[in-house]
Amino acid sequence: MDNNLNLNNNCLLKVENLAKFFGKTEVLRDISLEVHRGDVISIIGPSGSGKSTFLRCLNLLEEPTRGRLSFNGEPYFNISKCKDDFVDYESYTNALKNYEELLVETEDNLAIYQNKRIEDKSDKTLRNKIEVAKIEFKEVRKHPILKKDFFDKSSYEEAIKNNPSFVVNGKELNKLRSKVTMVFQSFNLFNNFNVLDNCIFAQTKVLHRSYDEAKSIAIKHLTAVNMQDRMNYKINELSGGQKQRVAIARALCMDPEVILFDEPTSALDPEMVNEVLEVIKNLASKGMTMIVVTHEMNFARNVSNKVIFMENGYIVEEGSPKDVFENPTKERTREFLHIK
Amino acid sequence: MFDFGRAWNLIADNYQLIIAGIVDTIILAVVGTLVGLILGIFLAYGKNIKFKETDKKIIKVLKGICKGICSIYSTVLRGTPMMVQALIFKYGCQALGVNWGDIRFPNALLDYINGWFIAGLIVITLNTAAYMGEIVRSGLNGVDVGQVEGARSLGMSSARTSLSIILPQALRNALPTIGNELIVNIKDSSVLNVIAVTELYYRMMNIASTTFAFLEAYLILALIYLVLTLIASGVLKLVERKLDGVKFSLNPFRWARKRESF
Ligand SMILES: Nc1ncnc2c1ncn2[C@@H]1O[C@H](COP(=O)(O)OP(=O)(O)O)[C@@H](O)[C@H]1O
Ligand SMILES: [Mg+2]
Repeated sequence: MDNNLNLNNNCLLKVENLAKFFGKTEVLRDISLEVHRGDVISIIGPSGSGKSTFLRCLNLLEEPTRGRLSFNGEPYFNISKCKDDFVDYESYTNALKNYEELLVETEDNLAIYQNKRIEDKSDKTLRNKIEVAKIEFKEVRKHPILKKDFFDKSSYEEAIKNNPSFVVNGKELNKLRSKVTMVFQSFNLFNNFNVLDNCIFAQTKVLHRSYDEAKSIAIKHLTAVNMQDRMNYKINELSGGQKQRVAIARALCMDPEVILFDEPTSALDPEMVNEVLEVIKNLASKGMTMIVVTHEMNFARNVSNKVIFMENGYIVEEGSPKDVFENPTKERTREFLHIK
Repeated sequence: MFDFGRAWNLIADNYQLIIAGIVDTIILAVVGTLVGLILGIFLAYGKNIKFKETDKKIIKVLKGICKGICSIYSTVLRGTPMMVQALIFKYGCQALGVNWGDIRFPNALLDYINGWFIAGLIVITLNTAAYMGEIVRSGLNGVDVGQVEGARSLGMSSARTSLSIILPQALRNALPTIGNELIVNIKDSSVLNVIAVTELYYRMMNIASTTFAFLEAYLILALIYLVLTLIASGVLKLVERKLDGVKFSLNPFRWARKRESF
């Protein structure tokens, strides 16, 4: 069955024009990527460049602002148009200027009359003028630019109609997340469960496996990461490296098709980095599809089949490890990798 | 002056009443704390309601109302003395035609559980709930968001995550504060004497005024409260140690499985 899928649709995870805003800051800009079955993709880049946000958008822990995501050919996120796309920026800036001028003008008027009235209370006409100025000031505050729908509504609605937005939710989303699961820098193991239950719990609740089945699967994966002796330990009795290995086993228990690693070794003491990298390497050799955000350049060079250099929310450079590490085309990549 | 003979006589003559008072106080404190905790959990979730951009307007309004009620409830009940709340409850119920004093339990095992006692139980529970709401809420907010992300990224629903991962950890972290609430309740149940709840203080007050051994009565009373609170904090320490000693502390999953295997 797997082979059939491979033939029909080689692309497991497809990212098209992904963008993410936090408020007004654009953290991901127009990112597109195809992940094929068996790919090991390393993402490198300075901190703050949007690597974590990108991974978190892939399993919708963070909702992207725009873009299209599909898994196995099925779209699970599609917001192609956003209101901002329909603001005509020239008229917007003009209107903004106009509004600001009017605001200053009417405010000044009001202030002048009010000051005059304080100085000279006998002048009866001032009261009227103040009233008028107040009304004018209020009118300015109704300027269309202050309204939410200051954009080309009709073409927005048209676009939405032609390409309806779709965000997977509920059970479907949960299912997706169990297929595209994530391993975190800070492990995020359940502190109220022991090692074994950490690996069993989600299996019984999300995949509805029986307890015994889930347990034997958990034991299999814990053994694979060499944690079979600590299955009854509490989480706070483990070292960082052990926690991360349990976290990987926990992810594997869900039979994921893609695992997203967000700096899996960055929170570890140096002597533990290798034991975790070994586990990930091992997974790679077994053909697991993975996207790994990492600062371990040797890992990126030796294990992955594709390296992506991200900065400022852009994919600056992408290619085979050889190309990116030895022959980067972009100046910025050379700088980051200290290549002369 | 304190007179040991008088103190001894007072105890010997009235020990049944004193024990009845102790039982009443313990029931008030324990039931009030436990039921208050359960109500407090609901209150905490109510106050923690978050508005989503995607919510429909009607949902937003309902959420707002729910959140508002919870906030007002906990502000008002924490901002007023329990004694006053008890009096308002008593006269409020009377105004509505419910007189707690008239309610009798003919077949009750303990003949000193009467309508007033039930009223007192309600008051202390409602009062405790307000404090518990705050305690549980800060417990919930104190659990690392990574726990939620870990659970969600495995595909667990938000309700499941909240109940099985977050709440148990929140309760475990809040256990010392929750226990403190029990100790406060042991002492503060004494104010319920204003609505004729026959708890320990009420009984001792009566004993004092019939025997005229005021100093002795109140010193004995203080001693009993002290012993009760010491026992309570000892028990709580034990519970905490037990939970930490067991490998699967506050793990509802284990409980569920135990049930299955029986
Ligand atoms: N929840 C958030 N709210 C606002 N800004 C955020 C949030 N998460 C991340 N950011 C911002 O997005 C940018 C990219 O962050 P991140 O994806 O964590 O980068 P990286 O993982 O590459 O270090 C940073 O500038 C960060 O401040
Ligand atoms: Mg990061």
